Amino acid sequence: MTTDETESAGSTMIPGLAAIGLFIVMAVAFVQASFGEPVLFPEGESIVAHIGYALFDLQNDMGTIASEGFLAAFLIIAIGLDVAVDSAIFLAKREEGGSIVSAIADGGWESPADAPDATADTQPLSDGGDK
Amino acid sequence: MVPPEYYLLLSAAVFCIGLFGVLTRKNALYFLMSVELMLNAANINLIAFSLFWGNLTGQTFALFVIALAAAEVAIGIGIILVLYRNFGTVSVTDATTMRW
Amino acid sequence: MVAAFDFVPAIVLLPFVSFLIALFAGKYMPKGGALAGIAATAGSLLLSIWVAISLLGVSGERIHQETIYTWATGIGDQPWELTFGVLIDPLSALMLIIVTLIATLVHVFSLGYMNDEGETGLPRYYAGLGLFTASMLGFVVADNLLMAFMFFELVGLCSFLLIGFWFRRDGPPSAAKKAFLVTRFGDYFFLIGVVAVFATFGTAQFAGPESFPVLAEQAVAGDTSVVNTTFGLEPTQWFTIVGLLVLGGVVGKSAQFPLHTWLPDAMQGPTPVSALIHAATMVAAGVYLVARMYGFYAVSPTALAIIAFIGGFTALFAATMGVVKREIKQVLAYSTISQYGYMMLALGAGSYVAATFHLMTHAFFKALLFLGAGAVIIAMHHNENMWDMGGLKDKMPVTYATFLAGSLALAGIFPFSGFWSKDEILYEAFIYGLNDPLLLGGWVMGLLAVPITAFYTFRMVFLTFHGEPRSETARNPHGFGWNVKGPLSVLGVLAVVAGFINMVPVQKLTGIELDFLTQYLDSGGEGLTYSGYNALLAEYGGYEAGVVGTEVTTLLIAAGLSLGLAVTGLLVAFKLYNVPEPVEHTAKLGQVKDVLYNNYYQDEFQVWIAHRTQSVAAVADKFDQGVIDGVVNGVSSVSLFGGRRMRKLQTGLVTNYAALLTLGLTALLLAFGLLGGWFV
Repeated sequence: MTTDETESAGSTMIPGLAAIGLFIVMAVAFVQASFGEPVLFPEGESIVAHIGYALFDLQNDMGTIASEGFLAAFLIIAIGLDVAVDSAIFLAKREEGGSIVSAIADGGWESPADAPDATADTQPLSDGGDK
Repeated sequence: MVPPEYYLLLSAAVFCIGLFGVLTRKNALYFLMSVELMLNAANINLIAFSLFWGNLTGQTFALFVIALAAAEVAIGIGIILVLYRNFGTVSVTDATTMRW
Repeated sequence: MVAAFDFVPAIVLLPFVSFLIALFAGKYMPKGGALAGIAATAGSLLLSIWVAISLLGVSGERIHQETIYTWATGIGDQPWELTFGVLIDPLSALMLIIVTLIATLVHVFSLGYMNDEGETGLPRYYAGLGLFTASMLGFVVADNLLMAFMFFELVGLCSFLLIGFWFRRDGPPSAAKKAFLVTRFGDYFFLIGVVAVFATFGTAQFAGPESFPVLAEQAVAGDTSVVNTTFGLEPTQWFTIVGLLVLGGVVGKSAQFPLHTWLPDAMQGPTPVSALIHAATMVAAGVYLVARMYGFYAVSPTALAIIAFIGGFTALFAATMGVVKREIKQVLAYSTISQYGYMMLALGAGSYVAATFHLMTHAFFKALLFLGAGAVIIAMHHNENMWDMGGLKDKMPVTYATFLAGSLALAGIFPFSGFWSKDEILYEAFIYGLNDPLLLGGWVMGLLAVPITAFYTFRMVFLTFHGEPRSETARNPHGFGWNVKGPLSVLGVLAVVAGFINMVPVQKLTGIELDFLTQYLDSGGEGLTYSGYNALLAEYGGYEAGVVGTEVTTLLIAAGLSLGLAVTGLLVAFKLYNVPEPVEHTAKLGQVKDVLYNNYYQDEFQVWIAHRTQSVAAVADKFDQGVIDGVVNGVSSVSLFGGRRMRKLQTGLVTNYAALLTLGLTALLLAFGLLGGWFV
């Protein structure tokens, strides 16, 4: 998929200078900055366990390290990932002759208009494509 | 702990490397990798300052960023597939129909 | 206790709901939404009667004012409030009853005139009637001038919709447009007047201590701090100008000279609509508006004198045109213009009660005449030419009897209702006219119109109902049902008896108290009563009653003159037209007939004026095309040019966008860093 043609088609390094410029500006600013004393985590506590508490809003009951509760964010991101997978599959579907063909499990989907006589096929097929 | 300036410099360096990739490469797949670098630059900062302030929020947040990155890659790959189907290439220089 | 006044908004909203029902659900309902309209207007009628009776009550309020909704509030040291509110006093209560009664009867009559005749588009028709009634009722209860103006315009819009109901024919759409444009011309002045009232007084309330008539009175009395007059004019001069501006709308709506030309053409609409327009809504709105803000006019006698003169002139002028018309509805149209002229004369003569009284009796007998004419038109298969009628009285006895009652009332024959009200107008104009030549001129013209009115009214009656049938349809008229006869009978009774509620002449002769209407109108709140207006008139207008001999002889002279002239007119019509085969005597008038038949060439004159204004319009057009459009075009071409350059930025190349983002971020960081001292 990656051809030489694509890469050699005038791949210029000049816009990269902008990135280098940004790095210089940031580096100068960071080096000049001063920070206070670090707080650090208390000794002997399991960080991973506390992350688990935070994900389920248990940080006030079980943990000793300060944190926000993330239960809502956790659920939302779960749904978000689900949507991302679904939309990736949707985007990957191909369209052939006006009908959408599933990218992962193409069951030879036919629209009822294509096969008017097939009485058994008139019910709409889900995109599972198990036929 | 290591002084936070160093974390910041590391993070800025990783971010700018990713940015450099976005700016100079034409292949959309390289784009995805570069964006991954930039997201992880942000993660470095989140975790460094989580330790610095003794607060776990930053670490938890970094986890979410990783999840978001996964979602982004899933969508990104899908978009690249469509791009390839419509333009016959994955070069971002050819897909310029959304302009004036 | 549930107060009647709480239901005042419902009076307005009920017909509005019927409008919505007819509009959206009319085609699914039997009779095309008519029943909803009848129920709504009848409900409004009952509520109106309740409201009017509660004003009569011993303990109840005599005036009710309530702000329902404030839709805009000004800022600054003189904050204005633009509100919707209701004002109920004897005047508006009386008007509510008139409007709802006529509207109910017109709805019922429409069952016979529209439904039974198989008209199409009935939901649209009943929706129009509902909205028309609702907007007139809103106008009647309005407690400030701006709200009144809004509903005034709605009334105009509805008349446009209803006059143009048969929009597929040639005549109605152009008649509707004419009605709309001519009244709009008057309303243009009215709008300026509304703004002028706001600018002068900072309020447009009709009633209350802060209302503009009260402020106007204070200003004329010498306390000029309450008003902002413009152009350095004296308060009285400025009030006269404002009053005349508002009068522009009144002249347009009430079809007074010179803006009366739309009304005869409005006959193109369905006949029940004509009845509604002429009797209760639209045309009545103009006169009602003057009566509503009478306290304001009372302090500017010049405006009043002009009102009286216009009224008297219109009364005479329109009556002469009615003499030669061939169509039954045309005659009625001119009689309406003429009768509203009388009301304006009464208002100008300072007789607010007489004008209201005549407004009421006229509403009854004119609605009766129009509905009667509608019945005749049904019978004649929609032929309106009186020369094709004749001999209908044996075939349609109910219509004949009621129509005759209405005609006697219109002609002002004792003891029908029109006699009492018209006589009171002429009497008041006469006694005040003895001290004011302009008023006396109005009285003379009003008096001259009396025999002409009687003449054309009975010419119409004789041509329509008497003699031999002059066409095949007149020999075999079309029948109709109770829904035509019912409204006619109700109105017929009212046309006979409505005059008895205010028999001032009899009271003056015998001393028995018979002026119930005067007392009712005098019972309103402070500043809105008849006696209050009279005091204002006497103080600022120099209105003073004159007498010939004693008061009784003056009364007898005035009443005798008008009655005698009316009977004369009637007898002339009887002589000329109550024969088996009447002929067109109008030919004997020669060229005068052409002038009259063409309405004094008023329409042609207005068209001529319209053409004269072409050069003004051309300048305005040039200004519009050159300056206004030039600026607009300039702005657009500058943005076009700029856009054409700027869009080059949008290459569609992701890399370019990313590079721009990076550069922008770098620049921002640099700027913040330099300003914030990050790089020290």
